[in-house]
Amino acid sequence: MAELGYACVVAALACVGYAAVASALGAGRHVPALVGSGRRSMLVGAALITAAVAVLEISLYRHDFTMAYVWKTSSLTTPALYLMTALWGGQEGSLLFWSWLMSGYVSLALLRPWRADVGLMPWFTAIGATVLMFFLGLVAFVANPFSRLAVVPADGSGLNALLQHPGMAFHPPMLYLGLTGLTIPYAFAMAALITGRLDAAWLTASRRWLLVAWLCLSIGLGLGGRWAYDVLGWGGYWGWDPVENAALMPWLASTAFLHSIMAEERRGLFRTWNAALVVLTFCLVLIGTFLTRAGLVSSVHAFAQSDIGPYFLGFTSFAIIGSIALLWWRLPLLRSTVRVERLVSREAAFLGNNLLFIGALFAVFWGTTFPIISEWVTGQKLTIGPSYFNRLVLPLLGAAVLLMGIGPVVAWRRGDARAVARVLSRPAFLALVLVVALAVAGIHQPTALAGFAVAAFAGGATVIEIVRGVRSRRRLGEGWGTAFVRLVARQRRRYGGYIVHLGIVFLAIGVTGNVYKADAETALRQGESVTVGDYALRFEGFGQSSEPDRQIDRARFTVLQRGRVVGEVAPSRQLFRNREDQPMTIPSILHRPLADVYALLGGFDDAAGVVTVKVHVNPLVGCVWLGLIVLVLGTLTAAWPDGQEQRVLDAELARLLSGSAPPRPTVA
Amino acid sequence: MRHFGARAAGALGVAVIAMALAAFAPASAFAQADDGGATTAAVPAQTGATYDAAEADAIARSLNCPICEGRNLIDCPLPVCAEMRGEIRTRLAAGEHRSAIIQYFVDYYGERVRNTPPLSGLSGLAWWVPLAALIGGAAVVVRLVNGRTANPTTTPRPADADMTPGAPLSSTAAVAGSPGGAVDYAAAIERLAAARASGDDE
Repeated sequence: MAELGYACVVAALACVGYAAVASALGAGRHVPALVGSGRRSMLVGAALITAAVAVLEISLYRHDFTMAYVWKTSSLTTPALYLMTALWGGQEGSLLFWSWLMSGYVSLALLRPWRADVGLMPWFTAIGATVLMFFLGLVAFVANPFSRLAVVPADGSGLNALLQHPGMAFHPPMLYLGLTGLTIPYAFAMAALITGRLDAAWLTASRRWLLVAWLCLSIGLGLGGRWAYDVLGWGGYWGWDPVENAALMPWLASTAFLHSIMAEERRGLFRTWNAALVVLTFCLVLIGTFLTRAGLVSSVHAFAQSDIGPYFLGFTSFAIIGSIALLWWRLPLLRSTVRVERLVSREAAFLGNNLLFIGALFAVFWGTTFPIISEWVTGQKLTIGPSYFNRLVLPLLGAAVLLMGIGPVVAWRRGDARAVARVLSRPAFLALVLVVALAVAGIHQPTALAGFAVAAFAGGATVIEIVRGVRSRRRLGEGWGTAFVRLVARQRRRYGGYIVHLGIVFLAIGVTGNVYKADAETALRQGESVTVGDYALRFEGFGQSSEPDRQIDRARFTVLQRGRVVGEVAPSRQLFRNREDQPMTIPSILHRPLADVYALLGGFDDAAGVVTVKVHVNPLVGCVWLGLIVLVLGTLTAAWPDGQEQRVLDAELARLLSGSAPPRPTVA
Repeated sequence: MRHFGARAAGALGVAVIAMALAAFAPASAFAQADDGGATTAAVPAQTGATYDAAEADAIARSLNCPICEGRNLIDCPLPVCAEMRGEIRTRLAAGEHRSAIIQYFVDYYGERVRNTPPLSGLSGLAWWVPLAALIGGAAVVVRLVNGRTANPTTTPRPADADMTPGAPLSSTAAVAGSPGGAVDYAAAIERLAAARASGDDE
């Protein structure tokens, strides 16, 4: 089996290599046959990678411990779900998985009917295949998941216990889907630069792919946060860990890009900037992967480290230098004839958005890499912890939320400052009322007040925008529900975007809730309780249970809110059979509407009946997850294919190709 | 229905206020203790002396566990960290200031015991470089907007002028195996996309 898998990888590498060369040559010398064979070769390569993935999965399910990778990431007692996820549970397998996803994206883009992007496709194939070649090359020559063990062990060493969590089953695939998906806009941009077809075609071609990638990346980040919250036990969901930052940076860059392409599509502005942004986004994907896997930074993701660093460094440098050289060469074609005319205009708002997102991105980048730089330059080891990022990045993102309320109500080209002020006076008033009410209620932390005020302002402004649209449809005689649904369905990009903005508002509320986190750690005997903020935990006793792969010791607590029983928590210590040196403490969380009660075992002494427990009360965490769900719904709305738009385009096209006289399309 | 917008916003506001009140009102006693800094506690070892508990927590929060990689001192269960937290309390009770206490640990364990770099010195670059970059970026944005308003009246309509391709369609357009209409196809789609883009938003 292992040899078959390896043969698939090598054959796929050959196919993808041929696809890159044939597509480039075919495009350069105008040989359609070569372009066609390059395209087919790419598709065959993708099929071969799929076969290799299937071989690895089958070996995992068959417990083929002759293979080092299977031995390293699974065992006889590993549950079926985690046998599947073991595919990305280690370095070699995850690189193969990554290559597979990337080949899937490129193939799907090739299989779609070639429309506006027809002139870009040969070069798109060449660029996509080149990037894929690098990752496949790593799988084939550096991190081979199909290598055999000299001595066949009876049982595997098992998947890292921390990774045996449902969140881990879906966090890496979503993240990888997001990161590899960002290759598509990059390949289109490079194709546009190479061919010199720098009109909006590459943006039109890549916009939906970009949205899909952005959506997967957002879900991946959210699931990662949820996993950290449910498993790692420090009571939070985002720790500014270098690897989290590595995934956040492409998200920030692509968020900026998503906004600034609107100015290019609409007015032909920021053309150089957009091309540079897509290069930046892709390079951040490479840099992030490099940081994570090369072991340069210390992190909870240490299980992904290995010695592939130099290769990544080489390829990343190649990609950066090559892209910048291309950009430089095409700079004359990218000059825009239009200007931003006024500070009060939609264009300027997008500029502000980009400034804030790229500023936040730079702060994250600098804070993540500064310890490395500092160690090189001065030899001094230092750490940059969460409070650095909270102080630098959160204000910038808060300002972006504020701008999110303002931008959509400002007109293109020349906005009217007075009209904007009139529209925004209502949400501003709302925010003011909220601040006063909170202050009266005893919320005095300036950061909390600022956070809630900004969220109320942006949320209010967004809701008013949506209501304005619904009201204008109501004049056509539609009911509220119909008007809303039709409004969103007819202008998916716009109103899908507003729904995403509402999700961000919820996220902002949840993040602001952090200001009032409370915690306590204490030792308790049976019947004793500990009070944290508004809640009390009473220790009820120990419990034990056993699963095939692990033994679980629990401590049970009753949760009281102002003396009333509202639920219970049972934090546990779990001992995995294969990793008995590595006991895991798994937190238990009670989700209340306005706060989470989060309990973790510090230690316990069965004989003496004493348990040490750490309790966190996390206000408004629920808003974070709610915000993410709303964000996903909004993005889906914006990215959903518009059948009517497609029909109009197809009809127009058929007429053009047949050369008949143009009857006006009946669908408006 | 004219003022529905205001009412909707009002309803949202009420909801948000209600939520925030319910979340924080009961916790406000705790919150005051947190930011008021008035709570004091006795140091177990030195009866009689008192220290500011909030300040002790704040100091512990700004330090790392010297052993665990990247773990905050306040969360670390190791005995050495418990000792360090005790040391902070003892020194606070003895009247030492935050900076002196932090410096004591830095001298002992090295710079990496701080979890945020100081503002001064070479490590201060961690703070100043991103701030400088942001200010530089803001300057560029302002220049972009203000510096080029020379003759706005002659700005061409976007859909006509700005969407025109930067270069004529490359002959590679016809390569991709489509029938001879590929170029027309592409051009038609572009025109439509441009027309839609300019009519899309209001």
